Amino acid sequence: MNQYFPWRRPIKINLPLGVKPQLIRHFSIGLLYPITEETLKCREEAGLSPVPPTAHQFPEAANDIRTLIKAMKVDKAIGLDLDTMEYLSDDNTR
Amino acid sequence: MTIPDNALTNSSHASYAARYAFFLGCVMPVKMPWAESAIMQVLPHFGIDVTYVTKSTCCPRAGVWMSVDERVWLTLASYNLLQAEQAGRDLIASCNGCYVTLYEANKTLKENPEKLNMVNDYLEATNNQYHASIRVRHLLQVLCEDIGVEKIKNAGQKVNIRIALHPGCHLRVFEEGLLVKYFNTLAEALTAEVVHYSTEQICCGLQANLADREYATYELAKKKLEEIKKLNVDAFVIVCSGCYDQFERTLKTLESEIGYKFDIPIIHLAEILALSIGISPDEFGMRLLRTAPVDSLIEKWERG
Repeated sequence: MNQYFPWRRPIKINLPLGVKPQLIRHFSIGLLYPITEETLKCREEAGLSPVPPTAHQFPEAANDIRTLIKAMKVDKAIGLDLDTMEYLSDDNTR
Repeated sequence: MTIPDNALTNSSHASYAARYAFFLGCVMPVKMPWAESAIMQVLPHFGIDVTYVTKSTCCPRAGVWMSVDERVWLTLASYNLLQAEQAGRDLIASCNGCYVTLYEANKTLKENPEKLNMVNDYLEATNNQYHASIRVRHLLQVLCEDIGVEKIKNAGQKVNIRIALHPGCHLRVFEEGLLVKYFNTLAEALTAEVVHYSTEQICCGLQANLADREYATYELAKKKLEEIKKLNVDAFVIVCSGCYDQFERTLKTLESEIGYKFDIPIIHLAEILALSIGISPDEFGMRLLRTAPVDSLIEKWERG
């Protein structure tokens, strides 16, 4: 990818505060946004299945994501308990 | 990547009947049902064999994991890629962010067998394997290269509206601006007028949100919206769900903080294509979950 992004380099940064809740959603439901009652209704009116055929419909996919995150020890690196979905401390440790 | 000689002129040039699975991503299925519905109706109309990527998860986010931890980026992207591979289909994305993260992961894994082995070691924990045998394509590539602009033009009528475009940063992933040219060409083919403006190439602010939400909202997104307001256009047109998410969030923030109003609807290019071939707005939920009403746009479409 160097030809497209010559300045890209691996970085080590503190976990931005805004990312913390996003990661909880990503690892809980597999996606960044949950399905709401309004979504279900609007999807159906748009001619779609009320629940999209994503991890929303297949929760085993979110379970697989948690398995992969544990296998890569990402949860330890960011200080997130995947069972309770709570960060172990309030600091920005990576 | 270079633009195929015949991509913008010929009617159809798919060398074989490709089979696709559409990757929804996080935003489109919950905030943009009109886009999803339009895409899933328009592609079969032109003979494209398309289903969904089932069991899909977050792509994962292009601007985060690629730089922070390559293992996580490649492994979580592979989890999505293998869903299409297991279905025997190439993958299509409309969100530029999803496209970049999945296209680059796929390319990296095809070119680096040791990285593919590493990913498969992790995927084994979920009883899965990825073979890097599929292609990742942007919706605009399928429209311009598989179907062809001439065929699209001849299939329907121009929609009599003036529009402004937001290509988004990741649409410029290829040096020659391939995808941006496709976006412009299709927009010009489908509407009365595309109005260009000075901040057209500026970022929506999505990634900047992670570092400084106020800057992303007021210095990036709002400045762009301010200029579009002055253009007297009927719609602000995107293809990227990530950019849409940022503009939608910005409008909610601006309305609550300073009472800001933006009455130009933000729509997806596939909606214009759907209208041009005669799919009625209510068949793809055009009036639902909008940042601004689409009634006057629909009236113009009805008048022809």
